[in-house]
Amino acid sequence: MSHADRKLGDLHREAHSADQPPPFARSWGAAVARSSRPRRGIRQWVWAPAALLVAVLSIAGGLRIRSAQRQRDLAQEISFWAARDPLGFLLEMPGSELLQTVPTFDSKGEWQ
Amino acid sequence: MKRVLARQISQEVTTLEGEIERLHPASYGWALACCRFRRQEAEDVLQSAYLKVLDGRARYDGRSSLRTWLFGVIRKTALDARRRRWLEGMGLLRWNHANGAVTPVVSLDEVGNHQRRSRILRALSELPRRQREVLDLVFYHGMTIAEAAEVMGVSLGAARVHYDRGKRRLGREFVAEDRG
Repeated sequence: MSHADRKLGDLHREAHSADQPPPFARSWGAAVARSSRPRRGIRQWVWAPAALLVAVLSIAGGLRIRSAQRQRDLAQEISFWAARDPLGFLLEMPGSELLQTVPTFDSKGEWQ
Repeated sequence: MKRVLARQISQEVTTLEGEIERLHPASYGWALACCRFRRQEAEDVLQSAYLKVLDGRARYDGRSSLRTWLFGVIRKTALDARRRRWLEGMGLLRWNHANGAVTPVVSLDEVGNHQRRSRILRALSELPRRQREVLDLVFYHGMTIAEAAEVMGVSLGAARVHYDRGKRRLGREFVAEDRG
């Protein structure tokens, strides 16, 4: 055994010199009393699913907020470019609304 | 079936009780080391460990010595207690415990010894948990590093690393001071 080992042994003995353990009967007796009480097992069963539920809800909420944010950004971008195009009207052709809509016919067979 | 199991556990406990009583002072010392030398915490942990033995949550299967097994139960109970306290968000209470435990009331002629002991306790408390545990098991409880590894539930190699690091760290503060 080296000097350092002896010294560390002394240190540990000194650290434990005032341990004063409680009487065994007290610790054991208290444990016996606790063992006869009904256990609070239900609490453990409640915590695990509750924690899981919170985790799932927070992940779902996060994803939903993220997708809503993405849609808002996209809409903003589109409206931005639509607003910033001053010569956009030059690309419009006469009767372009006819090309973009589906014609319907009334009961007499006339085109509306 | 449950009744048979309960009777079996009760028989086991009856045979173990005497041995556990014999180990009680050492068990308390180990509980203190696991709880950074906080007395109240150590007492609670020891009581909870005994409760585990009594209700069969911890059963001795004879694969190791009774002391190694019991120390393992105490260590696990201390870890559970710490985790539970953390979950309950009792940071303030923990702080109070720490202050109350490291400065016990002493008589005036013990002040010199007390100061030195406080310094040792502080140095031990500041060690990382596994280093503190392995050093306590080896230097105070006289276990081999292999036995300490079994109590701590780590491999022998890991226990050796913690032992070396802890020894070096503690040695820097106390052994070097002696030589200087």
